[in-house]
Amino acid sequence: MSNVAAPSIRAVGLGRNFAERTAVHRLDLEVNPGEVYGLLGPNGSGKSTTVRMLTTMLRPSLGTAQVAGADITRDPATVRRRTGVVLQGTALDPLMSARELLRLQGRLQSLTARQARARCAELLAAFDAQEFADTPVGKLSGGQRRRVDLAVALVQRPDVLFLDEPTTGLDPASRRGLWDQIRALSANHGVTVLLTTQYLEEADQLCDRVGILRAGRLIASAAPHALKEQAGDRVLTLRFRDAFAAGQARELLTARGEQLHTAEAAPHAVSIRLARPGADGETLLTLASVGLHAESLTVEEPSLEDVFLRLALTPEGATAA
Amino acid sequence: MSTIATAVVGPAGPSATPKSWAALGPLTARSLRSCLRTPALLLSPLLTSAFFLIIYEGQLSSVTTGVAPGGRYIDVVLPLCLLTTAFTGGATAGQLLVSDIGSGYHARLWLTPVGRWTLITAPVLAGVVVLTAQAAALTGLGLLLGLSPVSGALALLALIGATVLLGTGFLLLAAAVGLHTGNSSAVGSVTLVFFPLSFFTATFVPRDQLGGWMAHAADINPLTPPLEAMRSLLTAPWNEQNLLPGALVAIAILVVGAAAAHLALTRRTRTGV
Ligand SMILES: Nc1ncnc2c1ncn2[C@@H]1O[C@H](COP(=O)(O)OP(=O)(O)OP(=O)(O)O)[C@@H](O)[C@H]1O
Ligand SMILES: [Mg+2]
Repeated sequence: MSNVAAPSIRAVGLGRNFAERTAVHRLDLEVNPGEVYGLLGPNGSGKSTTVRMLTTMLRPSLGTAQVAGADITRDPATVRRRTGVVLQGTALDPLMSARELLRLQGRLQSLTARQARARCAELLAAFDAQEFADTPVGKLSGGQRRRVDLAVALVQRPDVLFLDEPTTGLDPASRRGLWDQIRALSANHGVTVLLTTQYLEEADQLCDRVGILRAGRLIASAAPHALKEQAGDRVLTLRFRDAFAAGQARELLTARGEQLHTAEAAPHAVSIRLARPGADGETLLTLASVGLHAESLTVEEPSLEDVFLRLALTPEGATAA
Repeated sequence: MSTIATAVVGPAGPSATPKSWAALGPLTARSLRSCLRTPALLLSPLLTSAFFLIIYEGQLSSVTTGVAPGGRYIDVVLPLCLLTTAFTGGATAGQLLVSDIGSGYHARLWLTPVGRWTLITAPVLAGVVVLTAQAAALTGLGLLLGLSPVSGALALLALIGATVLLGTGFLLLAAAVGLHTGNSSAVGSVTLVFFPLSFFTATFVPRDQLGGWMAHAADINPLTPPLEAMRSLLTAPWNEQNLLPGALVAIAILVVGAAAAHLALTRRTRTGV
């Protein structure tokens, strides 16, 4: 525990070329112990390739990386011992049962047969999987299979957990269940989690920091709220009794130099951008002082989706400031 | 969800360097279970060979009285069927690897700290066990059809051993192809290469009764020496001289198979899973 500050995952200039294309360009990434880091990106942006390099499945074409204190190319066996991986799409033998898979995984992670049996029982109980523990996993539902997949990844009590699109194909309840499990792993036991996802809500709810990949380049990496702040101002929308009151409010606010947000089309509503903290309260006071009372108001935060649409989906040449 | 958290992590696991040898047992046992759960893998080579054994023996033994020196046609045809079993059953390891690659489980195994050579050795060892059972079953069928070798039980054991030795080379070759391509038809093509070869040799008669171009084909066919060696086990007293060329061919196939498996592993490590 002497090197608490050392990142659990550190990639420096990590890249991978395939025959015709570069899947990942010189990626620099640091993930701290106990952090949940989300990699976001559209299809083909290099999320899985990054995970496959960091988990020693795929050799990088350039750059280096350390995972759980070991170098991925010089000491891959240590990396494999200290990391758990859930790959995109389940990676389980459909003819084997959860019990068989967990026990075999234990043996391959150098547990004795007795230890592997004990560990298996522990995980089956923790994942509520006893009632289907002896069914071939090929006959389980997608959600049950995911649970088995995650349990298998945790057999060796990993320090770092990689999850490649762990919740794709799960119903909302199962998805939330999995989020809770991931949160508990990170919060209570300091497991470092790197997950990839297509779901912005998932990244927002679950991740301490989010990285956005576009065409193999990491174009942003920050906490979700910081990314959202970058994406633009909050927008305050006030609805008045009639269009006349709204017109008065508009005039008053323009005179005060507020930025009207023109996207709001309704005639009896006014939207303004809130550039400063506290601007919403000031606005209301200003209007109240001349007897203009809004009937309802909403404040819209920019969503991670706005960030994503702006950063990840703009074509490569166009700069997203 | 706190139960999850308390059970799944906890004190860091043992940081012992995993011993790949120790993993070989559980991995091989698992491959054997996969064979048992895929009856086609187990039974189709056996049933095909048993079918031919019965048909050839039943139809050809009457018209070929005199071709076999000891007078029994089963001595000629059982080694042929065992040879066929060696390369059809030899596909087992390759098929096991292909189905693991297809399900993605191979990638999961690849991500464990055990030496990657175990991932190819385990299905080959399982194939060896299956092949031994198949060869024994076929030899048992031969006994029912009147087999009685001049040097007794020792010859039968040697016959099974020879089948397995030859088959191990095929197992390695098929495993290499399976790992390289991840494709079941490609693995099947290993069998397809050797199947015709088993006909351009002294298939239905001893080698010295062949004439014309077929005799020349048999001379250059690599399957002729093992076939003749296996036949000599049944028809002649024990004699190393008869066995040596066949054993050398089997060892050569084994070496080529092992080299191919090594290359396939190296390449897969380089290109990634
Ligand atoms: N083995 C491979 N050979 C050639 N190209 C590959 C290979 N694996 C990935 N690629 C390419 O690399 C790029 C990145 O792929 P990757 O699978 O990392 O994307 P991803 O972000 O995970 O996408 P998705 O959201 O669809 O899972 C893609 O253009 C893909 O075609
Ligand atoms: Mg992917």
